[in-house]
Amino acid sequence: MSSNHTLKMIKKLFTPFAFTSKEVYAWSSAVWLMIFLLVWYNAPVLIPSPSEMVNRFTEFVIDPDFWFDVLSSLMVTVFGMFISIVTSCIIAFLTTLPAFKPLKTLPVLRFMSMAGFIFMFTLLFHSAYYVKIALLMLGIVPFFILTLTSSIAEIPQEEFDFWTTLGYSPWKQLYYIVVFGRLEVVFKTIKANFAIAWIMIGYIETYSMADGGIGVLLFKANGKTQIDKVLALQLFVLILGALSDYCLGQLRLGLFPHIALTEKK
Amino acid sequence: MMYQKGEILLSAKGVGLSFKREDGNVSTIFKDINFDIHDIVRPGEITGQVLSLVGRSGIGKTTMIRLLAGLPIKHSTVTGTVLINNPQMPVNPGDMGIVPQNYYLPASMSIQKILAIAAYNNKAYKYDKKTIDDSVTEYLSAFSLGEQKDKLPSQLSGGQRQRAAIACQLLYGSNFLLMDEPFSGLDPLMVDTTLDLLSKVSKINELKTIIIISHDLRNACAISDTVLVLSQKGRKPEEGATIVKQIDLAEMGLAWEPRVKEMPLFLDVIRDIKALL
Repeated sequence: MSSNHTLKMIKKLFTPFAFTSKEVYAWSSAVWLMIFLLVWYNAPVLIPSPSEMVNRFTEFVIDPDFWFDVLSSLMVTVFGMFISIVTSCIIAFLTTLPAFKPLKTLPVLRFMSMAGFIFMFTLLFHSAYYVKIALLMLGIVPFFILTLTSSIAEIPQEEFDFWTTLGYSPWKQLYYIVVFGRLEVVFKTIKANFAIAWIMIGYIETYSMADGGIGVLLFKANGKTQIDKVLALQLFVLILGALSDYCLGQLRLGLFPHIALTEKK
Repeated sequence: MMYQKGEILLSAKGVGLSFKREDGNVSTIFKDINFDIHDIVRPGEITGQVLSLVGRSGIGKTTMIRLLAGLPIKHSTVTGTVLINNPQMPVNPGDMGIVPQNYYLPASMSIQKILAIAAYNNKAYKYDKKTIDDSVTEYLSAFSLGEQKDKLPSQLSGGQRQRAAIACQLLYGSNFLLMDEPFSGLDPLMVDTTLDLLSKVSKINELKTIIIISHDLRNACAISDTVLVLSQKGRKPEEGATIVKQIDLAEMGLAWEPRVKEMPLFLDVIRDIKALL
């Protein structure tokens, strides 16, 4: 590679919106990884080294009790997500009816703190599991409703005109355009908000520790200043979250092949 | 060419449209739109009607389509009436088909599925699946979409999407077809194909009526038997646009002529229309 070519490539790397090859992308990723590891190895003594973190990570993975906590967190997250998306869809679809339009203001609830509801939910549900589900719903339903109602508001007029001119009633239009037609948006919403739910569950589990969970492990490790354990748990949370995100993305593409043609990568 | 004008198929009587602006003043888009579309009868031939509504860009032609089709226009005040069929009845949403400028089709469905959905509400098919499927197959073939039947709209070219959008409206069975800028974005060869297609569509039955709304004077007029010129020239802004001239191309011997674009009289008509815009 000539020095002229290398200079050109470096210049390109610092030019806004410039197109680069996959090879250049791989090289720049490798450089960033090296910078990250360099900073980590030279970090203050308090922060454990990558090898210490990997050792703790391996200990967790081979411990059967750890998987009980993972399962507990996953069950709450998946069930909480399911019930939240069903509730949000019903509310969002209902906002197409003038009588239910005021429900569009529900997303304002996302500014409320969950902490204030713990005692109330404990009195209401008497079960740590349902308290966690209720807190998760309170945390993510407003975000779901906001995304879904925004996608409904963005439906172009010609989409309604198409179905109207083919003799479809407003109720059938609701089904074809909003319920069936925006199913992929529902999946997109799940995918986009799964990370929020996954992060939220860590906090929620510390409010109600009875059933264990990754959040409880993190809370305890933090309390004992076992930073190597905290980082190992964070790595696990990151891997599981990224894996779920990938699977949801692939599922969405499989179920709605048209989005692969219309969405920019 | 021998022809007769029969019953009135569509009648616009004193149609107007205005919006209340945020400052409280009223903004008039159209005022006193009056015209009739008659059934044109030619001995020994099935002749539908092709009317062009021409005007400058931005004058509100697309809004006019919604108005004629009886579709709701948000925050507006509509005056006058559009009557269709015989006996004449006020137009309702769903009475007229629309082919929008971007040929909208549901993104997640195959072309075959979209056509089947379009045919579903056609009363003539009586919700019979076999009849619907047979008609869809027939239209796929007639509109050269057979090979595209399993494709999604985003996998089709602009011309193919236009054909699919027209086929949808024909399968639904409406006699009125409103076309919004059908020649926009098409290359010269595709324009000829579209002109050919519209000519064939207009001959499907006696009552088939195509209303082309366009700023492409030459192509729109080349296929029409009547031209309506929508303009605001010489009018005060608060008066809005109106039909300033109705040109009967059939009477002038300029309708149904394959080489009309080359006829001197046709070119004179185009020049006159341009002067009115």
